[in-house]
Amino acid sequence: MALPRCYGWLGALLALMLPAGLNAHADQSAISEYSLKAVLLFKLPQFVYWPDGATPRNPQIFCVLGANPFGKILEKLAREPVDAHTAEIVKLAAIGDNIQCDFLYISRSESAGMETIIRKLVGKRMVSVSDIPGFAKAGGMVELTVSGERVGVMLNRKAAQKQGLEFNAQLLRLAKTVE
Amino acid sequence: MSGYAKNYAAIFLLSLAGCWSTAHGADDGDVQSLLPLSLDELFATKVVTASRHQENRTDSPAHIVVFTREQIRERRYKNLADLLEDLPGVDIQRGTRSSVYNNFTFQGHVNNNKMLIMLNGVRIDHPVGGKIPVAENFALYNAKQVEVLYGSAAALYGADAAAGVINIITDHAADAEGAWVSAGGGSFGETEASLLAGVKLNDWMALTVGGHKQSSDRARLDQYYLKDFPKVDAKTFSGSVAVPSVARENYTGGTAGDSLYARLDAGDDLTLGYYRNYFRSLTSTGDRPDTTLYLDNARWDTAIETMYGTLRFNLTPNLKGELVVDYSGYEVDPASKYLNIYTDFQDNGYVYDKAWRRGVEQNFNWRVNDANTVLAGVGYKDYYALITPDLPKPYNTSLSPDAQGLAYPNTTLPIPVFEAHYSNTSAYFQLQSEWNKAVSTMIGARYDQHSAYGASVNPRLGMVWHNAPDSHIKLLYGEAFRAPAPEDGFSTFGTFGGAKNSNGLYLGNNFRSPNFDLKPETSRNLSAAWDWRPRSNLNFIANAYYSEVDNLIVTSSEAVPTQYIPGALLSQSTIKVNAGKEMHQGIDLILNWRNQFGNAWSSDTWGGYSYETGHIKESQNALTLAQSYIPEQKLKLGNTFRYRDRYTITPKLYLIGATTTERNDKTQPGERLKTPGYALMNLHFGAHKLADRNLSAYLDIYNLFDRRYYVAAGSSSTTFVNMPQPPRSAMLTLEYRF
Repeated sequence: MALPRCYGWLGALLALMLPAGLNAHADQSAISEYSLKAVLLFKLPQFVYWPDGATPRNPQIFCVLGANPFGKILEKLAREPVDAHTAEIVKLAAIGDNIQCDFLYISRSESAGMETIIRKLVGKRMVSVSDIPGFAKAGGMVELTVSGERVGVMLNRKAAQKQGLEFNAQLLRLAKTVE
Repeated sequence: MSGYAKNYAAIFLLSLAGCWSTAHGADDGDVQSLLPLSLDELFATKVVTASRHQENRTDSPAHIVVFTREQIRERRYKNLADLLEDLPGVDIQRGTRSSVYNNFTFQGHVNNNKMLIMLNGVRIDHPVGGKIPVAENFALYNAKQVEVLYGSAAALYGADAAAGVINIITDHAADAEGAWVSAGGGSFGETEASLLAGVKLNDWMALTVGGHKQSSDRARLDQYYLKDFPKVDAKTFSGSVAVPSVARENYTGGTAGDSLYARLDAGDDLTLGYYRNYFRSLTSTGDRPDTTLYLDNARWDTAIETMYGTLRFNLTPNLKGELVVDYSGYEVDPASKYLNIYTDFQDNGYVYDKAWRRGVEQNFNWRVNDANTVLAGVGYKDYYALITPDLPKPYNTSLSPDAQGLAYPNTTLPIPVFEAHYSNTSAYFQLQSEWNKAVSTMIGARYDQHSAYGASVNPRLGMVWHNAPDSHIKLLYGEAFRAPAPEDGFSTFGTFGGAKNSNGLYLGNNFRSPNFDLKPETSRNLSAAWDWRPRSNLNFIANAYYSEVDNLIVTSSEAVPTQYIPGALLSQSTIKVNAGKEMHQGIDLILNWRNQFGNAWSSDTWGGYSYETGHIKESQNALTLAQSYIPEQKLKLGNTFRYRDRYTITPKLYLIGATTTERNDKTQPGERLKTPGYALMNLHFGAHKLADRNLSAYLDIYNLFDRRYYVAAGSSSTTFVNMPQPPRSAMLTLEYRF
């Protein structure tokens, strides 16, 4: 038996689905700006080479300096190892001398003190990340930018190289760089 | 329960078998689903506000495979044929066809005219739906991403989207600043060069241009497969020796291809694109030495070019529009010709084909509310095609078809040149509804009104069930049609010996008659997929499918020959008719596994196991035959090992089971002759950041262990049943980024 051509029941189903569908609940999973920025932050270790081929720590320490814009997103991402690395989230109110971070996210709440923070990070082996506009030009390593509806990355290679850090070629191809 | 109903039931049960856990869908923690995405994909992800909808691969009811730019580079998919070869459910028989060179079978659908090839959503394959070469001409130097959608998609795309849709996506020109150039050479005279350059013209406008050129002498197969290429007499069907064995030529099988690409973007609203590709292969491809002459000038040259413009606009924040205008042209070089047993080995087998399509389509995307999205559109396209039979000399493109003044050799009968001009009007609608966090549905249909073969309605119905945060069940039903291409109806051939009957009519045997009344092939496809990601670096997909095709266009002997040549009496003729029916079913099991070893080493492992069966009946009373060109089982495995971003090693292994040919097994009614299975390994090396850090080098080794193997062929009585394949070859390519 060949399948019948089911236009009749398809039409009936469409008629049933239309009003029901149009009244369906507004549950949906949109990707917010900070969800995507959090994922990019979490994936950064894949695209950073540490000095002398050193193996990164496990767990890797992600610090957030200032007001946390991610809500609980970072903790949720940290529940599962990424590429065999676990992550630890540390919230910081200020930069101390004994700061122990692999990746330091500087919140927009710290815009006013950005240049001071960047100066304090000199000589510390960590990747500085922020979405403060102009962060990379000011000497930060990784700036998360928003252009239209897309999140991008601006890199300052010289700032990274001063700490012996290199970015992966794939990231360099996709990111913009500050010379 | 009938056989077909059982098949559908089995697929449905299979889909339910994966649903072991209580349904619960994505919550705020769904951000974890972004972790497996590549950097390319993350940068391409639109950031949306709470009122807008973001769909990713797991939200689509269709089974979709996506290849990113990095995968394309590391796995050395230099062209679309390379990429398709790695796809689960796809079979490729390279170098087996005289006019399309490679043969493809896509989940049982034979030939590449049952799937669409698109560039940024605009169709770039044959403008009127004919078969085209998919080989080195479709180079992927410009690809940012390639998406392969499995199953019927005619409800969105219209004619010919029966087996699937391949969409090559390129960068927005503003994102492609800079330039790179590559050049390579290798065994058997293989050379290839490509370049891509992007420039911002001003703050608003950017341009990308690129191109590639490839040529290869290919291996002298007669030196590697002595038994398959004996020096024999080239004899005509009547038995006269055209070329004696002592004067036979050596085998030759060279190919060449090139392409041009340009994309101009004005902001995010306007895109203008141009794409052209060209491919040349020999018309002796796939033919046995007793039935053809292996000569470099007996070739088939095709060019396809497409121009398009896309204007995007927002009518309201929730209603987006997209206006697409396109033109596509196809032409076979008039110097293309056959020189084989069908032309009595005489230089009178020239062929000329030309076709174009132009169209306009208005698409809308309406976000009705947070749970419902409507896609809708209307379109109009018109088409033109011209096809000649074999000609005694090249078609003169500066003259009209009626003024060619060509007669069949050995007669005074004028050769008919067939032209067709027709149009199609279409409208489609699709509603995607998210019922709750776990369940979403899709329902849609497309109406096409064709000036030649009338109306066609093709529905599509799908459901996605996120039965767990890491598990997604998809069901999809779709109907589709393949519009009869002019080459199906109008492609005629045959030669006269010069004899006449008592009424003065030239006598002709074994002619192919035209059929102006062919109807579309119709197909129905049901698929169920389970997409499971137990860990962020591990993805398992099972995709089961079942397809039926009715009104299949097949070649049939004519009981009463069509007398389409005035002044001739034709006998024992064949014709293409809508008489066949086929079904195929199978399952693809797909694995993707990413690993990191310390800070320096990482790997991507992928694999696909496919099980597939299919049958065809060429007429109601004909014997049911096994479907051609499919192995029952095949396994494709690959792994990219990476050391930092300096070195990559990618071995690829293909274990292909015995494959059905198109030739019947006379000892077992209903069975086909089968080509023995084979194991093949390719190996690819990449070294990057060389010289001043902008240079990459690639070494590609094909058929690493230098195996002698065959692929299935047998499309006619004069071709190989088992086509010998090339020995080991290697190629070195350098790529420099400015």
